[in-house]
Amino acid sequence: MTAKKTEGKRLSYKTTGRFDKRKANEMRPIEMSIGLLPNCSGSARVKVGETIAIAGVYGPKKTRPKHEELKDKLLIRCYYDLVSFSVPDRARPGPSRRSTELGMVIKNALERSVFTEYYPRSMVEVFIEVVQADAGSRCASIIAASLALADAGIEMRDLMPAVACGKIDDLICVDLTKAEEDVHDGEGATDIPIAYLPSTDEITLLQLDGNISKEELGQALKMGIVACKEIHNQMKQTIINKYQKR
Amino acid sequence: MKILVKDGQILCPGDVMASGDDLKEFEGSYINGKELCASIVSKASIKEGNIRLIALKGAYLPYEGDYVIGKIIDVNAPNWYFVDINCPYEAGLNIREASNQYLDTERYGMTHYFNYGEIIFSKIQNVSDTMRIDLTMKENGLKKLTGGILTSINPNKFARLLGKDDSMINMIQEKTSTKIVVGMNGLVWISGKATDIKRAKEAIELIDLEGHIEGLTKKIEDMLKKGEKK
Repeated sequence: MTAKKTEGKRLSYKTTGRFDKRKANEMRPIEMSIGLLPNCSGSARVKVGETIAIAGVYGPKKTRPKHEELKDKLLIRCYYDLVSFSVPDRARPGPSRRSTELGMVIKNALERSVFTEYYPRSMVEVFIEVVQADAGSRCASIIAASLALADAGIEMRDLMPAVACGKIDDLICVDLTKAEEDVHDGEGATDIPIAYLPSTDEITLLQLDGNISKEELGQALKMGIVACKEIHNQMKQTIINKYQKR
Repeated sequence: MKILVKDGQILCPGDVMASGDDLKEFEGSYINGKELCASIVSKASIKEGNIRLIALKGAYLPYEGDYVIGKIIDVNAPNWYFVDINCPYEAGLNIREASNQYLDTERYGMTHYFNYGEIIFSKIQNVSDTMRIDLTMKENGLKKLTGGILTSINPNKFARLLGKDDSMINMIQEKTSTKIVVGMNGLVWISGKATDIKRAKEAIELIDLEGHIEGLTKKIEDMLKKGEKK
């Protein structure tokens, strides 16, 4: 897709705005629910725009195989998977390089929020299935995994929101869609997924795909953190609603 | 210490409960600078200026002195029974702690006393730093549970199931004519007629589901009365 053109001269995205008419700092609508899978210790479903991620948590339980057991802390195993029908071109089922990498970065992010030292020699398994992907699937997965861990009753420092901030040409914005990520006009698109731990003010995940200046990165991160705080409030409200409903 | 939450408020991990200098950490909480935060999904209970957290979800973590129900899962090691006590760690029951009497395992074998899959009601004697758990059965009331069925509840609802001075569990036992043993690890053993067990199990499931809501005793009483009429 390209931005509107007038008299042969391309207008910048700052002037034309985003494809779906959102403001630069506006996220897509987010829906969350917890405890939907009765067979897991904890579960959550998160819908960010068109992206849907479902997370299920098993544990804390005995570590298998035993040689992987950590004597002084909890072992977190994280499996990320794109369902075959989640993307326009069928995704090949089973593990891939991408899913292994995302499983690892999500695990590293989650490890910071969990009190792993409270559960020595045990493990928690986090299974994440992305059933529909429209960019931001790792962020939706982190939100779902964090909610599922809280739902499983695992002791945590805080809930962990995540959002992709970035740049479309010259426009710094949050929560990019797939169409926005695919922009090649001008400076192109830059995608920066972040996960943020509000209580300790820490960024636990930071990846960058594209080009961005130091000043713009600072602005994008600030915008991302504000968005994360909004998501954090919604996550808390989801948990409160579940227990107050009954 | 300034308390910042209300009695009965639902707390999420990271929620600030109190602030000040004289903060004390307790189960389900942690200190972040000058703030006392919740670390688990819980309900706040404030009594006489003290906060207590009632966890709404979570696995059982063993403590010394807890009375637990377990299932024998291994009798291969000499003089040791290994027991699943519904927690991430296996518990060990030494033959010397299995009974007040002398058990002659050389003559009868280990499985003569406890066999695979059998249910026992025991007490946690010791929990090491690395979560090695030792059980004992050398106390009155600790025994092998034969017959009946085993069901599980959220271990955090254990106190709610017992009720004040065991009032709730006694009421369920009386109204359903069953015998119930509750382990602090969330396992519940029910013995009696099949129809009575079903009614008792339904009542226990309701406590598990709505244990954090007030007026539960009345609801359970009504439910059991309805069952009697049928």
